Amino acid sequence: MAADTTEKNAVKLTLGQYLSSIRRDRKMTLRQVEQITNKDVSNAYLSQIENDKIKQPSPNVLYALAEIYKIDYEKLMEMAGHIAPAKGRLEGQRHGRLATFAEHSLTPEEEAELVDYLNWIRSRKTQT
Amino acid sequence: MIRPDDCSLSAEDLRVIERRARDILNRASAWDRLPTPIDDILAAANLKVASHSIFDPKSIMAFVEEKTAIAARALKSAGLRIKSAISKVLGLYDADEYVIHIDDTVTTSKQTFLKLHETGHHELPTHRKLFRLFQDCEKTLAPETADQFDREANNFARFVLFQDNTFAQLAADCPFGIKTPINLSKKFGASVYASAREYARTNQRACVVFVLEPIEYVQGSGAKADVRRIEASPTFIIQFGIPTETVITLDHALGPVLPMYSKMTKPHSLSVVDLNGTNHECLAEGFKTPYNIFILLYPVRPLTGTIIIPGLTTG
Repeated sequence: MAADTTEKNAVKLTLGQYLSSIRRDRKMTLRQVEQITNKDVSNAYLSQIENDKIKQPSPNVLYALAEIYKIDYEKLMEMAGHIAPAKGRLEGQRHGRLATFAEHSLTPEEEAELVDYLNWIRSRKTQT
Repeated sequence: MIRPDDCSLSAEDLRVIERRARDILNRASAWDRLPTPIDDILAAANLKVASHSIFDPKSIMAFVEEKTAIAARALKSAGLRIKSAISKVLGLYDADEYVIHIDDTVTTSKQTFLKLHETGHHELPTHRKLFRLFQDCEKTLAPETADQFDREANNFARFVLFQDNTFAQLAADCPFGIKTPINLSKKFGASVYASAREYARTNQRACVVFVLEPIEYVQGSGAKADVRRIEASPTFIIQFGIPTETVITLDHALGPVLPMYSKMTKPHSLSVVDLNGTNHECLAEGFKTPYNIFILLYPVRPLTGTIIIPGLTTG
């Protein structure tokens, strides 16, 4: 069976199925991936990811895979559920649109206002 | 200046329009009545001239006033939102511009940590790529992933600040005790807070650091200090587990080392039972900064059953 790695089809696949099809397309074994990633992604771990036993691999593992397969890291993060729509965040959940150091989480409204403020700071910088 | 053409139509379009116009003249029985009876035309069309006209100067005025009030309210709440947002944030990494924003009202050592934390968000491509992506779309990290990224940036900052195990090596060459992380904090440009945690985290000896909030005086129950964090060395965790205290009061086993009036308290003896049920004599010493209280606790010798000193339960 030919590995199908097109964007359109990948959307319907689970993360595991998608990563498995990509690896077969790149003609790599689980062990080769383990070697190339310096054991950052072990053969056993990748096997569990591909079987959807591990549904949300860590961002660092997804990045390593995106690099060796030459695929989009952002897309893998979205498939694994690490990225969510900004509108869906509930009050009290950790904010994650902006990279901050903050002991208390920003409310969705506060974060949106901070995004606006940051844009304004940037625009002012380019004017002067 | 000749005005732009305002009436040319194709013959087909004109025919359609004129059919509709003829129709209203019919419906209003207006043919041959001159001047053309405008009121009847409007009535036939089922139209009225507005009683509250947009041209009424009073309406215009009232509208402007209401708009101004709404804008003022929106402005005020935007102002409150940005102020509360800024009050929660100490550092921010702008992935679009490659700049960091640091709150310069906090201590220099805290600013150093903040700078390194934000540098972590930049140096880790897993972070930078996503924070750039979020500039162009209404997406965000899932809450647990946002927490993970913060922990990753904190660990990046700690590793760079203390240069891997350089701190631990220098600490091992100094006498054991609370003064060592205090002295080393200056050498590394770190806060006492970060330094004390690193001291416990990397120590070969069994020891634990309690980081407390400043002492509060509660009417009726006396002085207390809430536990902010507990950092234990790996050997302490294996032997004693991780302490679970949430507050230290004066009658707590660690109460005698709360630095009430001086900056530092002398080593104080107390007993701690390990995970195997063996009693140990431990020493505890306290130190305070304007921001935190630190208590270092470490075992010195196992105790036989006959000696009884006030104890602390861990694990």
